[in-house]
Amino acid sequence: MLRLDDLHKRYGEVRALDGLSLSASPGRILGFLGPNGAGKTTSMRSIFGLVELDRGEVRFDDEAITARRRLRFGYMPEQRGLYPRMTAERQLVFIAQLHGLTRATATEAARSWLDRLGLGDRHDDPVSSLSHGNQQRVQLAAALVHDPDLLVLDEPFSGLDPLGVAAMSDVLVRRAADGATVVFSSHQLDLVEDLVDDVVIVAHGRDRLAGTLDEVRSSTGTRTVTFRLAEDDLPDRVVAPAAVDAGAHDADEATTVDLAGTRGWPVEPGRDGQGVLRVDTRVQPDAVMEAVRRHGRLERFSFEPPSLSEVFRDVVGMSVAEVEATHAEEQA
Amino acid sequence: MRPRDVIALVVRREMGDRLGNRAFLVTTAISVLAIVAIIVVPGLFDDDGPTTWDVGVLAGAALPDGFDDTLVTIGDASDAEVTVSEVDDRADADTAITDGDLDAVVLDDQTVLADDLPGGLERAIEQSLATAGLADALEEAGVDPSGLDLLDPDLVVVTPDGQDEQTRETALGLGFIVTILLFLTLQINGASLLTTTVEEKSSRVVEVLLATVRPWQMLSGKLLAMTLLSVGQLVLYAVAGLGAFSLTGDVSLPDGSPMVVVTSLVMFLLGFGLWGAIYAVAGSLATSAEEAQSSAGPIGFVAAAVYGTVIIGVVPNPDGTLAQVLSFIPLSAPFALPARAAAGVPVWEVVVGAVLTGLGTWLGVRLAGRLYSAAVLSGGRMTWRDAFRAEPIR
Repeated sequence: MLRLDDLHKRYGEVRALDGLSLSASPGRILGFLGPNGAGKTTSMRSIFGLVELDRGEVRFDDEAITARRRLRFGYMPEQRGLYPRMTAERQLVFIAQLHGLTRATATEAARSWLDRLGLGDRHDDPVSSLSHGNQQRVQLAAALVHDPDLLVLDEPFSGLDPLGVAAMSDVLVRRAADGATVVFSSHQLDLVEDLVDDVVIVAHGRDRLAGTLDEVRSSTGTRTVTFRLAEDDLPDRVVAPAAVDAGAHDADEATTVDLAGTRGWPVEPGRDGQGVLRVDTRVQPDAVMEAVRRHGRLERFSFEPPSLSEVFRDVVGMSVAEVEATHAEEQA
Repeated sequence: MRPRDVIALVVRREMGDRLGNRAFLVTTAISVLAIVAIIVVPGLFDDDGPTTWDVGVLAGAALPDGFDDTLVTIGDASDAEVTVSEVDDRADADTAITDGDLDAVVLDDQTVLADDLPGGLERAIEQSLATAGLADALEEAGVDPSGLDLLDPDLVVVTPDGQDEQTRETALGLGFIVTILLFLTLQINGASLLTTTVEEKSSRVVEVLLATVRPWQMLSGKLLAMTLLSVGQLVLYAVAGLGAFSLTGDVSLPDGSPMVVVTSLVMFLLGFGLWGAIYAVAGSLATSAEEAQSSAGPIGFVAAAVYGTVIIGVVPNPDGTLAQVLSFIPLSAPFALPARAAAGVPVWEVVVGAVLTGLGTWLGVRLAGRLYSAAVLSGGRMTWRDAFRAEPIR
């Protein structure tokens, strides 16, 4: 179990971490999600002692992290880096040995990872001669070569093509299945929704929301309804019939709360002429469907918890892109 | 993983990297060739072998007793090898001279037969006739000439400060060569440290490494590796130099040589780390090779100043106050002491210089560790001042 507890760090005027906490459990993948500049990298570096924290503590299995403990950690930094003139294999052997493996074991592990990542015939090529994608793979192998108990990856998906994303996801899932604690950061919240078991949403150096994926997605109290009508015109709003109230989960509440309101749900235009509604979790899908049907013949209808980026907007009050834009302004 | 295991791994990687580096191997090879050339080449040009004079003596010629031996001795004094043989008659003498078998034939105590008599030989024969004649006359007068040292007075030239001139010249030459070699070694390996450090920072590999290796371990490993390589280069140079001397045969090894070799190795072992640490920090401040050159600018300036001072102030005057002072300053001692060792330097000064240098290196590396750790993880470019102010990472 990895725990980051109330981390604080300032760089001059900039508050990089402002009371950030999170925990990650073995056998599970934690998505550490938020805009660029939210403090993800600083938090991750603090796990490896690469940042002197102003306050707060990082613990693993309820112990302060020692150099010895770190030998069992694997790290893939956001800024990838390897010795350009060293061969892929020697590089991995060196890194594995630094993590305490004997030369023989290190060599074996390096070869097996290179084979597994499809670089079997490039063992003795200098890293600088490999393609960008292959360098990324060696970088991943460098984080994995000693079979770490804790795997920390900073923006592992950035710069990967869809095939690379699939291969990376596969590796992370396997490591978690083998019992490792896997933490990765991403500023593309929706890209990783299928991969994570647990989520921490961060903004402005602080954790804003944490839990399992389902908990986080259902935490906002709304559901997203997407629909398309056979006729092109989208209504401005979908007016709920009086019956919606009675369709709520909770019969007692239904009588007192105006779930849909007689004013109806405003319709936001979505992709492909679709309309998007946000409705209270307590409204039953069939009630909404019935309401939508009154505006035309349904071609498509979905009723889902909000996406992680929608959750982010609900929690933080701005979209990821908007936060990044203000952050960029502050920096300038 | 004990720290020393980690450091050993870093040392091994650094040394492997350097030994696989063509530029490093080429500069080392060129230096070795240059050393051999400096020692061997002058010998090739200076003399085309020792001078030999073949002198004949006409049988029955009226010459002073012991003329033959006297001629050999006098020839020897002017670095010529003289062989004296008897010629049966005048006809044989003519033939031998015409054919070039003999350089000269002494016909009697007034006449020498020769085609093109070398000036040195003429003087040697004259001197031999006079000396041998004098010895004969003395003997006739009842004086034993053997106690008079007529032949080889063995003059020794001394300089005003009481030193043998020849020894002083060799010491001076040796001092120059050693100073140049030590500075070359420092520059080459210092530049290596600068390059590899900035490469680690700019390629960002340092972030991966420092996730397990502590910055001080990383820096120590790098410094140790380069110290060992520098000392290795110096050993190679010493072996090449000694080899070249034994190859030339007729040039004798300068007296101060063993002391020069020993002080060079000891002082570099103790002192390279300090210079190296400064180069490594300069590398860690930069984000590209170009920036590294500019952050290393002040070091180049200091190195040039030390180099100039040692060449101008210490080598020609190894016993002066300046030479003594520079022997006790950790940055200059690794150059000043070996330069002085050629002419002879008091052992206590070497010991004090070595201890102070070792101490300076230890302190310097500790301070450098602070600056290095802050700068190398900063990602951006830093000035020396920034690095002093920045917060170090253990």
